[in-house]
Amino acid sequence: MRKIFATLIFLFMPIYLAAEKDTLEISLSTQNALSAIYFGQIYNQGASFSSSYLQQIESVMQFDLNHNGVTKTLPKDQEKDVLLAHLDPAVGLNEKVFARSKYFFVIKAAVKKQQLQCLVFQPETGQLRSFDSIKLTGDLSLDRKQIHQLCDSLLQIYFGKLGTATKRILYTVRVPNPSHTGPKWLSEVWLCDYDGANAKQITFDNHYNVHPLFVIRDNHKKLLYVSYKNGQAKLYECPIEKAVAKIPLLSLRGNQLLPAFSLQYDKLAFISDAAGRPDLFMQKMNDDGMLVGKPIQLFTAPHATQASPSFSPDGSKLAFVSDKDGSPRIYVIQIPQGRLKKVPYAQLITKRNRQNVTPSWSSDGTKIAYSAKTGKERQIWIYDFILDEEIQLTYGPMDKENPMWAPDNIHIMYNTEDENTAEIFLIDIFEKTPVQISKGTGKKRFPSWEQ
Amino acid sequence: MKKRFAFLSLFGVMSLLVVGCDHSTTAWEDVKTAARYFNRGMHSIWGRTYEDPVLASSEDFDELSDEEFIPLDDKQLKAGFVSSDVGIGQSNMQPGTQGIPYLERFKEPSAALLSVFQRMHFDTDDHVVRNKQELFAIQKIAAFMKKNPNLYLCVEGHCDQRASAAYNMALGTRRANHVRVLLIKNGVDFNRIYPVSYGKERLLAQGNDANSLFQNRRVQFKIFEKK
Repeated sequence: MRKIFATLIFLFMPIYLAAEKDTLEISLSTQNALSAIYFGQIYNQGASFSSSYLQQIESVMQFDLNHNGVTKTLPKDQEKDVLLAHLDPAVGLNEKVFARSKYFFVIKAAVKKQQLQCLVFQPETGQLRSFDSIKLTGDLSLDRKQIHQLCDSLLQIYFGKLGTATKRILYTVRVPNPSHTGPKWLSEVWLCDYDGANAKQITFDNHYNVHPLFVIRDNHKKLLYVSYKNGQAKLYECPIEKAVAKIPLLSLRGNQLLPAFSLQYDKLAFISDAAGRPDLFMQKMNDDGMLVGKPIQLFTAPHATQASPSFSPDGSKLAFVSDKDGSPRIYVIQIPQGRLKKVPYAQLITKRNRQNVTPSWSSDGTKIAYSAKTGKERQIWIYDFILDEEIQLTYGPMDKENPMWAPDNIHIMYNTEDENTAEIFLIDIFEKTPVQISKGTGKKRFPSWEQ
Repeated sequence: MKKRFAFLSLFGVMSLLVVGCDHSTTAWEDVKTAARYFNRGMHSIWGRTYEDPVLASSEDFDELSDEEFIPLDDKQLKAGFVSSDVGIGQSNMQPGTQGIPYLERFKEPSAALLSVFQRMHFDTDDHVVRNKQELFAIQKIAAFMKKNPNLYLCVEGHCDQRASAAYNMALGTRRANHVRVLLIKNGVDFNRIYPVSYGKERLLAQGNDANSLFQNRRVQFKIFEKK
């Protein structure tokens, strides 16, 4: 009997110890060469605006040129600024200092009366290009949109890449309820530019709203969000410009939360307890946004909690969180056609860390960003399908969660969170230097890109 | 003596070899997953259950409704749930209809009823009520609900502040529904219970000490009496 017991311990103890061990370690370098450019200042050539206004315009442009994942402006240089001041579109810029430099291009921007004129000189080829002038309004919220468009077209023309400067962000702001009646906390949906500017509240439900998403069909931009306005968590859809929704999108009983749209907006995944457990569901939709058929229960597992679905770019697969094997991890299932006769096989994707949550699939399909417990904090990690590696993106204090890919597949928006604060950050996955974009009071969470 | 020493040495080397494998491969992860199941089995020998001790069968309940959504039709899965994790569809009486107000009009139980509607607490990342006194309290709530057929119950699932906001929303749903199922198993009409999850959005205690975290991992109740 003792021998049998000893043999059993001998066989199973190593496996037991292996299961208890928490392995954490990967360091993988990623590279993306940025093109150096020179953008000195916006020259005042008889502008109708004050110098401080031109400086504000200049800082918008600087931010765009430094956060597109492609270019980096080099420090200002007085000698170069003097040369640029004399740049003549008819003659070009053949000064040796630029011709010999390693700048990919040099930008000269000048404002004459209300017109912003932008010239781009490429030292290597000697090519000089003049962009259509922009009529500034003096209203920064409007003019910064024009600057964003200019910077995105610059990126498209010289690098053939999609810019994100014109994209906007949905998020929620959680604040104490100033009223003595109703819930203690309120959370409303806000909208801002990708750099955090032009932030404005768009829902006024006086309730608790979370997880906003853009819904874009035929250039009509709508908002999908989760609201507790009838007590339970339900999905609501409404126009962004007039964000008033009274009737839930689905007539399903119970709670619906953590929604995700496919890129084609023909499928909506969410978590529902309609069957008595938080399971993964999917609702098909047509081009007009009408529901097609009934919601389909896609995945469930005994004793497990499912959360946070995210579609692959072609809409054929879903990444989601489940704790079916212990700690929450990211799994991927193939979305089956028709009624399911068997629970789809869920492939485990994230193996390095524990408590892996909030996956977000990049629109090129090559990566999934997620949040994972890394030491004391939750950090943002990236699973790379091509390398089959998990790469740590963020470091430092504060928990980071809710990563969301930008359409350029280079940037990620996420929020930090502790008991008192939550702020939204933008990070370039190659540069890995986060920039806080949110301002003001309240906890800003659940950022979502306009795709 | 020599034999025992050789056995222990071999055992130690094997343990080090297995634990020392830091590289992560699919096969290795499969071994670890198998090991987790093994651990669960071992834990059950020493009394820690992963099965709900109250639930034994779902035969008393209807099959999941096929009217609202298309359910999974996996017989193997259903068999698994029957033994351990019953799922029961939600109330047919939606808040805001049939004389039932929206849940925000449900009230905290009065001081006199707080001894009945006690809070339930949970282990970290767990949704099962394990405390025997709290399981007994479920029976008390069920008995009170059966005596008061006009009483409707909102079951709020909450979490502590350590996991992410999004995951906690789902985990709170799991907790609320688990308690809801326990009440139904104890004879309460499923049409009178509404689960809702607030994740970590409504913390009870602000600290990060063990007691504060424990207080936050809870299910609590609100009630409405239909006149």
